[in-house]
Amino acid sequence: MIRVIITFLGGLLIACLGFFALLKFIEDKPVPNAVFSQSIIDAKLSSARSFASTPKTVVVGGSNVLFGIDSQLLGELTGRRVLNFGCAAGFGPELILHLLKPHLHSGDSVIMRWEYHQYLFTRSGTVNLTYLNLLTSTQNEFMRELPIYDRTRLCLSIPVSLCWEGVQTAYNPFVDTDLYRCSWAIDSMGNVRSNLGVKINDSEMGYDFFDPNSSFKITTDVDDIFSDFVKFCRQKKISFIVSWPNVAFQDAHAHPLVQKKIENIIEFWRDLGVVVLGRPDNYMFKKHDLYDTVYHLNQQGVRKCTKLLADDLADWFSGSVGN
Amino acid sequence: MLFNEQAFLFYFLPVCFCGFWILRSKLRSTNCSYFWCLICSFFFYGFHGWHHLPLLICSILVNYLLGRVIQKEKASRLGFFIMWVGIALNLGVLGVFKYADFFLGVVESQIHFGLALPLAISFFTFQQVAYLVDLRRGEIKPPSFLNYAFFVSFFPQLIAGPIVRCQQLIPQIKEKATFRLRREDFWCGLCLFAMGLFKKTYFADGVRPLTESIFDAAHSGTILSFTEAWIGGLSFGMQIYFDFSAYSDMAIGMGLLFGLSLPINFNSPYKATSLIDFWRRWHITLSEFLRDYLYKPLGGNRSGVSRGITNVLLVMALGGLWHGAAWTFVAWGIFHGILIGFNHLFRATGSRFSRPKSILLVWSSRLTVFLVVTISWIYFRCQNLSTAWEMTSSMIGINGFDLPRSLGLDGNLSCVRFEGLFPNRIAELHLVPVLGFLILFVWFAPNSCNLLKYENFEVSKRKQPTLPVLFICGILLFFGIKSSFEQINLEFIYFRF
Repeated sequence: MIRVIITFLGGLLIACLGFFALLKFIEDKPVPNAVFSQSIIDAKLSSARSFASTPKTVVVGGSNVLFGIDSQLLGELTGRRVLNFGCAAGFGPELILHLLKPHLHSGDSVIMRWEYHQYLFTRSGTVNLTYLNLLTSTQNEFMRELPIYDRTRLCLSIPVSLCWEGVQTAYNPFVDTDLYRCSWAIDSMGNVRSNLGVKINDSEMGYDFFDPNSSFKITTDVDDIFSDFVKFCRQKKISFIVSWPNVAFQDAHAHPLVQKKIENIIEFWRDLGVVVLGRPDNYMFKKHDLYDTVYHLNQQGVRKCTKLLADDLADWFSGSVGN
Repeated sequence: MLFNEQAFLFYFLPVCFCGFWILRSKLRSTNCSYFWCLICSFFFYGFHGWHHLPLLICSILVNYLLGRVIQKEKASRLGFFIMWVGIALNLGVLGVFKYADFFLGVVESQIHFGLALPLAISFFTFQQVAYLVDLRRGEIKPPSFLNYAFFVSFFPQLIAGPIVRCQQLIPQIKEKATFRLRREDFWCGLCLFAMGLFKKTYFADGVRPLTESIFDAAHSGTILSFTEAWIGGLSFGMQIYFDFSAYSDMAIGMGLLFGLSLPINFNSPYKATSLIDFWRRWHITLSEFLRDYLYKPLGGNRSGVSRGITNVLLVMALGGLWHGAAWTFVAWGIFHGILIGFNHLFRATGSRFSRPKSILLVWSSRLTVFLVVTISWIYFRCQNLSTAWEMTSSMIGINGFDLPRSLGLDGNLSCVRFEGLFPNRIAELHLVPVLGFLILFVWFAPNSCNLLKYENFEVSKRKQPTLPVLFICGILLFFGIKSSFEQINLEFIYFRF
């Protein structure tokens, strides 16, 4: 009987070791999607390095910032040096803040504009593939810093097919991996300049958060992540504020159930002692201002959004509100 | 709750399993343990949608009461009448939920019920119809209500079969049960479960993206090339094969974990050498149900070959309709019915091809059956007949043949184009080699039940799996459980029926 149990458990153990060895093997073999994401990160880090001196203002968030704010224009309107650190929503707030932290110093200011669904982020629950792709390869160091429970769950949620895709990508002699790098034109201040025209369809204008029937509960992971960041900023004497993400105009924004969700967000930040500037509907745009997704703006929309943000920031910069 | 979901693997199954055996060994009570399992089964069913649980409970109650009356009035015509009332009630409920909108659509009615299909209704309806008929035939005696409710709702077989018959399960329940789990049953059950879990998550769900990309292209109006259509058919053929095979293994495996033998429902159908043979290997319990409760009462082949073939056609058309309320399923059933009819005719001629003996004949028959079944899957998977016909046309060359560009001659010939084997930019083509591996696997790998020496209800013959098999199953179980952490948990295809 003992032999039977040992043999069966041996199989389990060997499989487990084999899988983790496979993960180790693919660390330096990113899949095409990870090559794409990492190239955005590279561009962002390069911009951040060129903004080494203090004080500076950093606008951070997912791609609603990348495709929503012109840091050069915002700098001209506010008389400050502004860096656009908008990445991609799929990276999750924890990785984005992890990448930003080393570039923040005392005296800097941070404006956070998170897409609504970022408030539902979980470290190891419902994880999107973009995040997993990065964590298995180019951002492996970051994964090692996560709590062991989340790290284990994340490792187990990596599909074997992803490992196979990584190997195929690395050893495909016919395709240069650079082909998969992001082709968006990102300038030295972190702004996308290739968002010209309107590419979004009417069917893509909806956003789940503004559906009165969709549930919304800020996760404990998000609470942890933002609490840590707030603590970090206070220790480093970095001022920070929260604004709303740009999004396509949503008719249901005034619905009581949607308003309740918005109040939840405001209350969440209030509990952390952070001021939220303006209202979500200030940052809602018509189709002609949008680019290719519900929260990506084209150059015309970016200019409008930047001016709105500059107006909202005037009081904060003058010191009458916020931290 | 799916068998490959964390809620099932980490909470439901361990709690149900431990509770069952603790009750049995500590209280020395089979009734308590079956009652516990019944509650768990109701919970399992309700987890998919609580609003349909009352339907299942009512169905069990009504059928049990009807069964008592049939037993009491066995000698009189009233028993016969009650049996038909029971059948009509069961089929009526099935008809309302599953077929009402379909038939209203056929007569172009403006009325639509829009009722959600209760999970497993086709399975528990057939199981209970068989129970009433068997009672009337005097083949069984009514069990206690607890045993009956357990027999209908036992969760491993509740959702997608096998369609267990009363005489298969009740004697095992009534048997003077052992108060501890047999070691052979435990290991055999665990290994079958591991094999099923692996087959579902890596094989069936592995080729699913390829199937979807091709069928989605077909539905959007793309005319598929000869190769694309065949790859689509083969990939769905593999997907449904491993999906159903996995479910059957897991159901039998879980049955064994509770000390019960469930009937084998799947026996390497792609190794079949004739269509008749195929249906003796694919969804065996459904085939047996259709044979015993429909084909034979219709007269079978007792009134000659032509009448027998007509009966086969009718039974297969209804069998197709059982899978879903759509013309595509009817077409699929009729397609199989026609081919089975030909098979019967062929056998009647006494041709040596009808019962192949040499390896060459066996393999040519096997290949023919496989290709024919692959074409038939197109009708099973497509959402409408026109798309299915377009795909079939591509498969049989009516839409021409596409050959590699490298072979290109000057210009295209009338029915031959040199625009590549996959001219329609089908996604997920990297899975084509996997498809090749799976085809070889179904033909040459041993059947899981054979590998574990599992035979229907032959408890005494059951042996503990060998050490190499246990070791491999340990590996499979790890990867099966690991897949439950992945974000994609896909339903079994037969859950829809």
